[in-house]
Amino acid sequence: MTDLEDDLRAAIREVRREQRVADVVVGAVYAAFALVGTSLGLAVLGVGTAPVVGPLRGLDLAAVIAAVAVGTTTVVRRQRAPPVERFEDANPRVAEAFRTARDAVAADRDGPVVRRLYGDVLDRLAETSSRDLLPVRRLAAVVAAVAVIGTVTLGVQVAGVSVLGAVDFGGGDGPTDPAPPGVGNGSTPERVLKPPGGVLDGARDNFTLGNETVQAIIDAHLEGAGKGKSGGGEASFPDGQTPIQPASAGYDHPDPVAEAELIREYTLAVQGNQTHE
Amino acid sequence: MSDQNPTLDVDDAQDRLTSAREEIARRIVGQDEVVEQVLIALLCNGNALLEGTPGLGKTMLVRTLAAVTDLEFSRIQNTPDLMPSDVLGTEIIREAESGGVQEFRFEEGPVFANVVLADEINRATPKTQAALLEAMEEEQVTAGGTTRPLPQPFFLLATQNPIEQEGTYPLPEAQTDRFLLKLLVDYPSFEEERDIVDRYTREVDREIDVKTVLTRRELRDVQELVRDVPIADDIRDHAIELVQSTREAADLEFGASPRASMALVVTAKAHALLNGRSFVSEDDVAAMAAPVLRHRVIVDFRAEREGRTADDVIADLV
Repeated sequence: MTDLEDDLRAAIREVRREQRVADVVVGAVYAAFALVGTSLGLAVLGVGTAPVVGPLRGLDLAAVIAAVAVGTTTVVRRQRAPPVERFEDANPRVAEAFRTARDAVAADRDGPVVRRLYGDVLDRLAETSSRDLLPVRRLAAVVAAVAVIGTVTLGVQVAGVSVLGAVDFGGGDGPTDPAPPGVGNGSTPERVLKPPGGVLDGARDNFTLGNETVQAIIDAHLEGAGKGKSGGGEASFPDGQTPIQPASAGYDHPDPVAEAELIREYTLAVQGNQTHE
Repeated sequence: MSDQNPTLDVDDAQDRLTSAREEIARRIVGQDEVVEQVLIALLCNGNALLEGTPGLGKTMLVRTLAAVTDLEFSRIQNTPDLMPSDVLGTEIIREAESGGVQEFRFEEGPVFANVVLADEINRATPKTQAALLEAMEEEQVTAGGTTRPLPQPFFLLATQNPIEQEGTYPLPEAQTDRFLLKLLVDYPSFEEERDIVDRYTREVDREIDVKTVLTRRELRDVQELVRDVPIADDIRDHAIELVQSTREAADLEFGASPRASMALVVTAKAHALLNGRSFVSEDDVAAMAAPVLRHRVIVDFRAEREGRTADDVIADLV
């Protein structure tokens, strides 16, 4: 076996290895896409499976499973085609010469022209790049999508937006809008009820109002500085089991004004003199 | 490789072949494709059939090829009264050199040369054609009970005139199949013809000298290198499939034999080497398909009536 033949066999092994690495890179990128996509879907739907512990803490198990499945499937599908032939498809300038050299090596061919071919192919292979093995544009698009979806997912999770399992406002026959602000004097709030399956068209329709009177009391009492108050209430998560513990922000106690009564009388006197003038 | 050490490496061989084409171009204007294919026949140790009207420089091309490659040239002008012995040689009675005694001595015919041009081979009788083609195939002549080998290397380049059909004896398909290539020599373009006129009308008996670029030994080495050119398995299979497809083509009455498969592969190798490559590409097979196959297939009568030629059918198959 000549040195050139040895070098060519080594080059063929290297091509196979680099193709496998490229397949893993593509699989990892697609897996990341599946991970963020599934996470976003779960966040939007407001559902979640068991949280993952260990290095992947914070991720949802379903998202991790989806990522692993997509990544593995991608790598397996790509590796169904022979790696060297995929390399030749990605590098057409060297394809015919490389294929001929491979067949000559496999047949243990030797001769001056064959050796010249081996030398030419090795020179040309040195000029090829591993980047040609990757679908660069597609991967760039997927990476960009991963970044966007990841950001959106983060925002959805922080904002608590959810399509399913919305917070229960209590009572009513169908989805309702929250009561307008300022209501809280104990009277029955006027509600705009959407007809089941209907569309709100602006026309006033007569509906049968509920006959339950609910008294709402808004407590505006200021508490101590820096501490919030845990409010009461019967709110709970959609499962009806997990209670919601609302809390209001605490206010700083206003600084007391010294001689407040004296200042009030002085102000009134000043205002009275100005009136006479 | 030959038993002796090769005198040329691959780069030298390709340089010499390029020089040979340049030297031939000093005498032959245009006809680049024909020149290339004649060289390929030489490199593949095969024989070629050239078809073209008179006056296109076929004789000059073959004579120039012999000069560039340091080969002995002879020409046979075929006529209906040409006898096989006129081509192969005959025994004649001569007085011995010692004197007094007469003896039979074999006089070699014009076929005993390295490059033999058999002009208008379709004018020779079938018997003379057979004798010539048998010598071409076996590279030896048997006369008077003695077998005499022809000089090596040996190439027979035969010409046919497509327009004179009266008094001719077309070569049967079994005989044409022995030719490696059939080359069509066409009229030159206006610019080429103008160049020809300028070159050959300004002086009387002007003979443009050409240099010998390849010796016989070197030619033999280059022939060995041609056989050494590797071909990928799928391209080899494609060449075989192409030849096999001629046996099933609707427009062909008869397809090509396995001899055509061998011819296509070896000529594709020569084409690759001549064009500076060390491997056979699909383009090499496509380029040699028509010269290798056109004389080995017979176009169906209906296709022929529609004006389709063997080249048209082969182009569709390629």
